[in-house]
Amino acid sequence: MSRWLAPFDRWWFPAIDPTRLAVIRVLTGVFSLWYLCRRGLWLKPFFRKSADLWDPIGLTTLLAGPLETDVVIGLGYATVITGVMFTIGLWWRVVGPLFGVFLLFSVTYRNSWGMLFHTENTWVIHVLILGFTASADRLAVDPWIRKKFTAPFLGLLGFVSGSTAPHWRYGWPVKMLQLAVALPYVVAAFAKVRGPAGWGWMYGENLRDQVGMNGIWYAMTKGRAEAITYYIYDYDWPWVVMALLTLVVEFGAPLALLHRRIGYAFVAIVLGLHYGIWIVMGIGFKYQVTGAAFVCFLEWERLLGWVESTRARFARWRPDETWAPQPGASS
Amino acid sequence: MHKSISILLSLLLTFALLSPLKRDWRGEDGDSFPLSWYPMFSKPRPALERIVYMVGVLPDGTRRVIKSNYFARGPMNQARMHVAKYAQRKKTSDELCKRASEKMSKRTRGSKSRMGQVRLVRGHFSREAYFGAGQELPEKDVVMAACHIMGRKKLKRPRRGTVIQYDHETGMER
Repeated sequence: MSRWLAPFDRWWFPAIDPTRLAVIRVLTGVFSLWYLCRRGLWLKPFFRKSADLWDPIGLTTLLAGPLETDVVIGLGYATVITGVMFTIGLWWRVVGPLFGVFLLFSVTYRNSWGMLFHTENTWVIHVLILGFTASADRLAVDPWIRKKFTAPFLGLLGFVSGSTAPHWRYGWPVKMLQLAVALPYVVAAFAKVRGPAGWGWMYGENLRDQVGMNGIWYAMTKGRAEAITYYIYDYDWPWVVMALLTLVVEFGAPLALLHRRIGYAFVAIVLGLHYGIWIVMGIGFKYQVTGAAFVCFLEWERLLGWVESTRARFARWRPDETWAPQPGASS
Repeated sequence: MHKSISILLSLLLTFALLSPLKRDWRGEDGDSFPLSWYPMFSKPRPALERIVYMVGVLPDGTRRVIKSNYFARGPMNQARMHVAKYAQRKKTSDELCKRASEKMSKRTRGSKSRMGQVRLVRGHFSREAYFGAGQELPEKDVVMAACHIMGRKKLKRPRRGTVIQYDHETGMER
């Protein structure tokens, strides 16, 4: 590798422990299953929707129209079942990509009825990245199966053998996951300043109008707007502060990829941004506010190592004899 | 996997995530999934917000907003879009109105049990008046559909297109 490319190589392809990617896979899988199952069979509301409401987007533009009810049910079950297998790391070379594709298709289908849920973009891209990379080499069923049954065809069938050695193939997907978090913020920031308001967006007028519009919509369909909107609507400074902070965080998001500590700071600030949106607008970006979107910024192998060493220290610990009560000391 | 393939895939992901910055690559409807340019905060809002919603009218002429879960399926935001789409045509507006009136006819307690009529309306709201002055009634409503609730006192039914304005002091129709 050329001397000039070496720093890039060390940054984009760090050799890291497979545990980090595996923890990210498990947490993303748990989030996905919770999100899919929290309203029963999650595609159910679309079984009997009128074809008039069909508004295909992305992948579903390839369809001639809405799917048959049985196909939608099948898609719902297939997504959840492969989601379980994804989370436990079973039959990885087949299930990893399959869950990514099922999720992409079913979430796109769900978004093809007039309302686009931007809250789901990063989640789907993360599952695709994890599904197509070596994220089941640890904390997975596959390596256990390969150890237990030594049949050579298991590898050919798509069961991964796993590894415990640090390698760049575990570091590179983490960088991709971080990139998928950071770049959409940059795109959103450009959309704001390239809109009719230009850099004047930072004065907060657009933001106030948007929050006001959202509040009235909520009041007319859900019965109430967020109480805080009434309190801050007439003041100028909260909107200026929020707009300015939004632009700084969004444009600055790629810096989070440069260093671990900048990444931590970014996660803390951007979580604040999403909680702010939740409180002011009542819009909870589930993948972000649960923290699932940002688990790729944490060094899980270090955290787990610390937990393990603390546990071992407590296991070794014996009460000092001098602490034991002396006979007759209490009398 | 070879590093050169990984570099290629990284470049592809970067390109894909940034592609919505170019107007021509934003999909047919100006936005797509899962690659979006997040346009929601960048567009300027009109002076008056136009929102399609459902109200129930009480015998004394006052009105109550009916939540979308009584007549539309799915998450609230999606229901909102669907209601707006239904309101574009008379037939679908009437269907939605009928669905809401049937739900209201089964109510036996609270203000919903006293409603005599259900209306699907397109409200024109001023954000400043709504949040600044606490004026929760719209500047005007345009009726998309109106239906009687079975078993309740009959009220005068406005036709589709009727414009209703309100007295903001009393909360009654002018």
